[in-house]
Amino acid sequence: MKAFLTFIVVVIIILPLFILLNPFIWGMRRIATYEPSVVTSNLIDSLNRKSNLDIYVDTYLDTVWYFRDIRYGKVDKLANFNLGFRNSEQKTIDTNQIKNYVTAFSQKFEHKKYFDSILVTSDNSIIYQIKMK
Amino acid sequence: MNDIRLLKTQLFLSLAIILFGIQNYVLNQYIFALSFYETVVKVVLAISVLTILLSAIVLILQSIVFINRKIIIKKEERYLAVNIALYYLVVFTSLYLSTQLR
Repeated sequence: MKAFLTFIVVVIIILPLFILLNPFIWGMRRIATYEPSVVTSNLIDSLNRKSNLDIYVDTYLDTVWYFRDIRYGKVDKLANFNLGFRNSEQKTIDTNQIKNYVTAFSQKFEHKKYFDSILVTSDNSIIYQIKMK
Repeated sequence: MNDIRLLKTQLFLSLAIILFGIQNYVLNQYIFALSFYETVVKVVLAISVLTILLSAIVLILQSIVFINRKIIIKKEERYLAVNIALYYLVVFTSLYLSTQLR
């Protein structure tokens, strides 16, 4: 009986080490990227529907640390905010339409002060750029 | 190893690490303004990993001794139970602190 109890206690003690010392769990640490907030993704959705464009957030910043560094003045140069433009129907790109889109977006964007300018890219080429104050 | 000195040391270390984890969770909006705070988190994380490895050994050895006594001492059993619970909390704190680094 006592041997069995000792065995159980030892197993209980060893069990969390399988979690803590497991290299697969270290690898599962999420890489932090920019995750648009609910407000931002709703804004993009509504603008997409309104102007009939397919634009998505294409920014891969580690937001937590980037925002933190800006708040505590550790960043010299602000990053750009990338928007991707999906041209699935291979139409010619209407710059005016995109300009209106980005202007409307930049007015309501809640993380304005964290970024230098908004870039709209399509197939790795910049098609529109607007500076934020 | 007849006394409970090792378990007492482990208890205080575990409590300190858990308290650090709690204060990091509550204050992490403000406390990262300190320039050296990231190093502090790194050091505490290293201490917590060492604590877990050492306390696993200590707990296994002590539990083998304590449980297989002819006359079971209540105080020792209580210390053992509390320390195993704290050990689990330290494991969770350590995993949490590892997500607080860049």
